[in-house]
This record gives sequence, C-alpha cells and structure tokens, in this order.
Amino acid sequence: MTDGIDNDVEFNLNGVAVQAPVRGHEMLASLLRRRGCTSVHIGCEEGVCGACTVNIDGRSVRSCLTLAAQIDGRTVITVEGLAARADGARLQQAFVDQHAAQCGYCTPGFLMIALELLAEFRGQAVPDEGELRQRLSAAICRCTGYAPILAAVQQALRQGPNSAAAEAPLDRAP
Amino acid sequence: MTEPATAHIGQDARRPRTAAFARGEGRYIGDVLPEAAWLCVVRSNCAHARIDRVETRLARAAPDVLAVYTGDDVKDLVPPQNLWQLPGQREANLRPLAGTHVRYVGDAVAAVVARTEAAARAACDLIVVDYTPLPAVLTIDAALAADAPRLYAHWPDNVVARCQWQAGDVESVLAAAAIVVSDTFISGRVYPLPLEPRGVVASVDPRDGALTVWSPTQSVHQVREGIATCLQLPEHRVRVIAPDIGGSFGQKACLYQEEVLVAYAALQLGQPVRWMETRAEAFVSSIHGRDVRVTLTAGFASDGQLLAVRGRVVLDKGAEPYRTSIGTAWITGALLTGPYRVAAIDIEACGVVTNKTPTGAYRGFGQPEANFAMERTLDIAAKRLTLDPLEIRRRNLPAAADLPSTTATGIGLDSGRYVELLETVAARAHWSRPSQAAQGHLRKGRGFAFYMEVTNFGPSVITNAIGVAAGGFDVASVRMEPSGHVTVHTGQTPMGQGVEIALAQICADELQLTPTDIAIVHGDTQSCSYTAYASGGSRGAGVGGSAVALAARQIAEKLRQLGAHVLQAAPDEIDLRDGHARVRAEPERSVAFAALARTAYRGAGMPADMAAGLEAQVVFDPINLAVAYGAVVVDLEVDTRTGLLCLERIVFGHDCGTQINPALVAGQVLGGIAQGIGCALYEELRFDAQGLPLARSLFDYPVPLAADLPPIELLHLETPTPYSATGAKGVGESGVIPIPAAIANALQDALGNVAIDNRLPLTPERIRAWCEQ
Repeated sequence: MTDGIDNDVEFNLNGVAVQAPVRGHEMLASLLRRRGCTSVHIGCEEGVCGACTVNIDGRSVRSCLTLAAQIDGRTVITVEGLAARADGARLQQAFVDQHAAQCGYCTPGFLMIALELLAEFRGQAVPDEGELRQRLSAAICRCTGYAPILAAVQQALRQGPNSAAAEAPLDRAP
Repeated sequence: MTEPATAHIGQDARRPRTAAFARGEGRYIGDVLPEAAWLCVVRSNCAHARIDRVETRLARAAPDVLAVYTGDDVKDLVPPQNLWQLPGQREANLRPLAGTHVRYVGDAVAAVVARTEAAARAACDLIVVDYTPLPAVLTIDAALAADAPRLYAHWPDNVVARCQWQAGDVESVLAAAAIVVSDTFISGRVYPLPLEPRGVVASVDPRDGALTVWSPTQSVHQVREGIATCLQLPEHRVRVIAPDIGGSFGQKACLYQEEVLVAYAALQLGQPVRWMETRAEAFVSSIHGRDVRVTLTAGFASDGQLLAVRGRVVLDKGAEPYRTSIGTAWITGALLTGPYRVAAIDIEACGVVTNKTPTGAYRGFGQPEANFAMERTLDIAAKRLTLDPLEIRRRNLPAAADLPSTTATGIGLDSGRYVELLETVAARAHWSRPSQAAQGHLRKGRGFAFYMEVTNFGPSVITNAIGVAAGGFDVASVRMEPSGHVTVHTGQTPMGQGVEIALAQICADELQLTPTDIAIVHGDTQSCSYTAYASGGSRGAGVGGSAVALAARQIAEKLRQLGAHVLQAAPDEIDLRDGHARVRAEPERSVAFAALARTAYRGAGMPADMAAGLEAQVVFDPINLAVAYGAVVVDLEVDTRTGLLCLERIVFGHDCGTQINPALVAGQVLGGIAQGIGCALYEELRFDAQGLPLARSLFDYPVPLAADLPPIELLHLETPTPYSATGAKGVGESGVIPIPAAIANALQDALGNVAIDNRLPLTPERIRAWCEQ
C-alpha cells in the first residue's frame, strides 16, 4: 500500500449496506478484514492459493487481486454471510459432516467456490467427480488431500432444491 | 449430565473446530492485535557476502518509524539452543540479525518497526546494505570439497555433525552376496507450504513487564524457553500463546529468530509489535524440507534375502544447523534399513551447510528419504533376481510373532502384522504386474512400497541418547469441576490434525462422559501442561493421549473411592456409568459426578485419608517408540513423448494401532499422500548459479490440486502398541513416507528397461529425457 487517494466505497456486505473509507491502493481483502470479515485469509497475495476468495455479484473472486476501490456498488458475500442463506448453511453443515477442514485456513476459499457451484448447478444433475475436481482446483489445500472437501461439495449439491440426485452414494474411506 | 452409552475411542467424533472454521471463526496470528506496530525485515539478496555497511539513517527519519535495528543492536543476545545436539556438532551461534556475514538469500539483516505496514515497508526500502560478495557454496559436493569456502570461520569445514551405525562385516558380506545393488537416491529440496504464512505478535504488560508472544507454533513451551534464553528473561515472566495454526507440517515446530526479534522489539518499545511474513518472504524465511542424498549399496542372496547395507546419507542443511541440526539425517540413517532384517550394516549420516535457506522439520523428518532409497533398492534387486517385488519384501519383513524386536540400527519394532497388511493391500489392488505390451507412447505401470513410521516420539532415555536436547514425555492435567464437567490441560497443540478432539474422546472413555463434557486447554504456556517434544514426532495421540488417559484414570479412581464412601459400598463394587457412580449389583444406588465433585470441593464428607479436590496430573514417558507401518500400490500411466505422468489409483493400507478417531486418521493419511505426491512429482526448490532462489511465488512452486489426486482407497489394520495407554500409535507422517518410492517404482515399471534416475521430483522434463535416451 502506498499513499494514494482515499475514497469512500458503498457496497453490500453479507446483506448489509456498508459505507467504508478505502486507504490508498488497499486491496479488497484488507478492507474486508478491517470490516471484521476475518474469514478472508491471506495466503499468497497473488491470486494463486485461493484462500482469499469471496463472492462478488455471484462470482467467486480473489479479494487479494481486487482493489477495494473496485467494490463500489457491488454485492459481496464472505463466509460470515453464509449461515443466513439456505445454500450457505447447507454447505457449512456438509463441511462439518464430511470433516472437510483440518487447519481451516483454506476453508473460506473453498466455501466461496462451492457457493458459486451451488448456484451454477441449482436444479441440475450433480456434476461428475472429474468436473468437480477441476472446479475445486481453483484453490490449494495442504491438509486434507481434497477428498473430504469434494465429498462436502457433493453432499451440498445433492441436497440442493430440485436437484436430480444422479450420484451414487459416496464410498467413505474405511 | 449427558447420557454416554458407547465408547468414544473409535468414533468419528466431529471437531467443534470444524464448525467454527466453516463459520469463518478461526483466529489465526493475522487476527491478533491487528493495530500493533508493524515490524518488517530487510533480508539479504546475496547468497554469501560480508556485510560492509548497513545504512539506516534515511529509514530512521522516515514517517511513522518507531525503531530500526541492525546486527549491532542484537549482537549481545544469547544464541538459541538447538533441539538436536549430536556429539561434536558445530554451532552457528547466530543472532536474530546478521552480524558480519549473510549466508543465504533471505538472511535477516535489519528490521524496521513502524506504526503501519506501509510505513514499515517504505522505510525498509530506504535501508542500504553494502555487501562484498563471497563465493557461494550451493551443492553438497561443493560444501564437502577440500578447498570449499567455509560458511563459518570457526568451523574446520562445512560439516555440521556426523553419526553412524555399524554392525557385522559389510565388506565381506557384500563380496559374497549373489547380487549387489548400488545407487544414489536424491530427495529434492521442498517447501512445506502450510497455507498460512508465519507471523509473530509480542506485547508487554505495562504493569509488570511480563511478555506475551503469540506465534503459530507447534511448541509453545520450547519457544518460550528459547525466547527467555535468548533475551535473558526470567522464564516465568514469558508467556507464549499459539492461536489457530493454518497448517504447519513441522515448518512451525521450532524456535525462529523472528520470535526473538519481535519480542525484543516489543520490550524495547514498550508497545505491541507484529510481524507477518509475505508469501515471497516465506519462501526464504521459513525452513525448507528434505534435500538429502542417499548412497545405498545393498547385498542380497539369490532368494532375495537382504544381507548387508552400506549407506551414506548427506543432508543439505542450508546456511545453519537450525534447531533440528542433522536430526532428519540421523533419522534417515537410522531408518535406512526399514523394518527389514539385515545383519551387516555400515551407515553414516552427516549434514553440511550451504548458502541456502536452512532445512528443518518437514512431515516425515527424514523417513521419506530413507524409504525412497530402500524401497527403490528392493525393487531393483527384485528385478535382477526375477522376483516379484512383493516377494522380496515378504522374505525380509519380520513376522508378527517375532515382534517386539529391534532393527540393526537399534530402532524398536513394537508390534505389527507387516506381512498380513502387505497381503491385504495386494489383494485389494489385485496385485500383478501389467504386461508391457507396446501401447504406443502411453505406458501403464504399477509400483509397490512398504513403509514404517516412527511414532510416539519418544522415551526420554532414547531421545537424550540419540542427541535430542529434550525428553519425550508429556504432562497432562485432568480436573473435574464442581459441576462434574472436565477440563484437560495438555501440552499438545492442534495444527489441523484434530488432536484436541482425540484427547477429549480418550478422557471421555476413562470417565464415561461425552467429549462435549470435556474442555481441552492447549496452546498457552501459562495454562498448559509441559510437553517435552511438543506436537511433533507423531506423538499427539500416543504420548499426549496417554498422559490424558492416565490422569483421567486417577480421577476415575477417586470418583470410585468417593462414590463407595457415599454409597457405603466397597470401591470394587462401584462402576462409573452415565455420569454417575453406581453400585454394580444395585444400579439404582447411584450418585451423580456433580454431587461427588461438590463433596470433594467442600472438603467434608470424604474418606478420612482423601485429599480435597478432583484434579490429577500425570507425567507419561513412553517406554518405547511405536512403529506405524503400511503398504501402498500406485497405478499410473505415463506419456513417453511428453513425460506427463497421470496417477490412476492408489491403494494405501496402514496400521497405527488403536484408532482414536478414524476420520482424523484418514484425514492424516490422505493429506500425507497428497504431500508425498507433491514431493514425488511437482515440488522442487531450485537455485541459480549465484544462489538466488528460483521459487519466490506460488507460480513457481506447483503443489497438488484437487484434479491431481487419483482415487485413493484406504484400508487398515489396528495392531495396538503395548507402549501407550490406549494402544494408539501415531499416523501423521504415514501418508507422505512411501508415496515417492511407490510412484518411482510404478514409473520404472512403466518404462521397462529405460532406467530412471532416482531423483525426486520425477518431473516431465526428466521423464522425457530418460525416454529419449
């Protein structure tokens, strides 16, 4: 961050209208964390690891690569806003059910990616494992080996409204 | 009080932490005192140089700067004591900021403390360091050369320490062997890459000067001791707190100079100070892993019996011994023969310093490097003897009835059904070698590896004997509150593995409560029991858990005695069930734990010789190590034109004794397998000819992603160890140990007579080059 022009931005954060000053060339991740959304985690500052992923206007976006000034007029969802949503709460429960977090540092990023998937595939058949793995390759996890995260996302997709339960029951690791 | 019915050990109890993380409620070092002053470190961009001048005048005058420190400021601090101290080990005796020399790109030269991060980083840019470059030592051979530049003037050479294991007459046995297999096995340097970079926050209490340091460390007591020693503070006035840790895998296991430096700054300034590693900084400022060369020569009889092993292990330590010294090389040497019977050994291990980031503990701690060498050697021998790879293992593995026994290097094998697990994995994988029918450029291969993992590290007698400057015991306190709920104090620190719920399950079973009735207190030196070796060495469930089990057992016994007194029965007539003490023959005669606890805390109405209160503390020092073990089959396909390798299936069998929580166990194995795949195929830290690291970004350092993991089938046995209270062994490092060897064996199988170099990682470029020969 360097000294720059300070702006005020107005945006919707987890269902609440927010007005916030932006310091210089501050990134969105920093602004959100300052606003109390500490679920936004910094892992690399260059958009590779995915831990900082948030949802902006329905799309998963790297908040470490988004200028805070760009958020004006947009709608942002972070993990803090999931519980109030049916799909978000379903996702969170699926992560609990499937033991899909160990250290928890990547978890917010994967939840945001999964939230986008739930919206994208609402009312459709659950994508096959290969496609889901491709989509989940948008973020890094070092702890779980991804299998329980995949299982959680599959569970949430299967439980979605009007979803055609096309997947066979998961084989849990013995 | 809740209604427990079944045992909690063995259940997939959910961690409350998982739900908290899913709600975004993790509290990591980045969340601690966010408004504290920022400390940023100026780091060397020379691999090896003399420092001629550090110009700080402009930085000191920069806006919002509170302090600038250089090597002069910290030269009188005490150097940290190392965790591993082998006889004859050379010490670097470094301070938190470089004095006369820098010895790797990333070496800390100066530090700025400012009111904001922006001001601190801007001031760092104003610091000018004049270096006189020195020749950089960048390889093991360069370090060992007779005329090598020495990193430390007070050392005679660049060797940190040596150790050896000898038995029998290897020369004669090799000369008489039917075949001798000899090769060099290189495990490349890797980056542990927990997703959370490191950070430290320190604060001084203005009332009494007591220091509190927050650090995401696996070892709060060891960090506390280190800070107190280095800053010459009374240890009882130093408190170290570990917040939630965003992954570690050993990288956050030992004291770092930044923990000393941030504490120093907070004391100097009388205000809170924080340091947070950037990702680019993290690649040079946090320890690297592996970087070991093993030369292995093994003699076999014609039936495949292993007769003799000569091994030379050389570890590239980077620029200083660091806390772990050559501990990982010691483990590689000691584990080089695996669990296999062999009579004659001649093994030496050493570590050398080079002008790179220091190496330290990374999941496996030397075991993967040993496994890679031996499991590849066995496959090479099997091929030359026209034996099935599984058969050569069968002929050299101890039988279950032969355990407990000791390997030729002195490692105790406590319990296990090695061959049975091998057969179980083979059956699940439908083991047979694929026919090498020509399929154009695509080749399929399957590979096998067996492994052992040293866990429950370890008996204090052994840890001290092998060169660890610490015991291996754990202390636990179990306290039943007046309400009948329980608080457990442990030295173990969760870093994602879930040890906290495992300890709650263990305690719940001893007291016939449920895990929700039990609070686990961890990660705070002020309130946690001492741990001699912290949360490393795969000892959380076996050693930490045993201390908890035995302390809970004492509380259970006291409850039985109290219950007997209250119910006017004999203690051996009393059962603890459903939160009550009950007379076994008349279960309706019962008294609730809460009533017994209140009696104990009132100090009246107890047996005459019983002390008040309901708290027990146990020191558990294991009698022996516990060896987890297993076997893996990997199926893959390789494209000989591109070198691209696709993993198709993994069957992984493991035995870690009694499983406290099978979901946690599976999580550890799957996570370890992923990191093993990374080491085998993707991950490598390389340096250019001047010692500049080529990986300073995740763009330069690919790690396995979800699409890179094949279907993995897990299976297990549970052969308890006699050396822990629950029969549990450790499992945290199991997944990572045999994967590189199994993948290499599978690749060699796919390539047939095209020999691979035994060098990790097996990158597409290398594979293509071998295929083109």
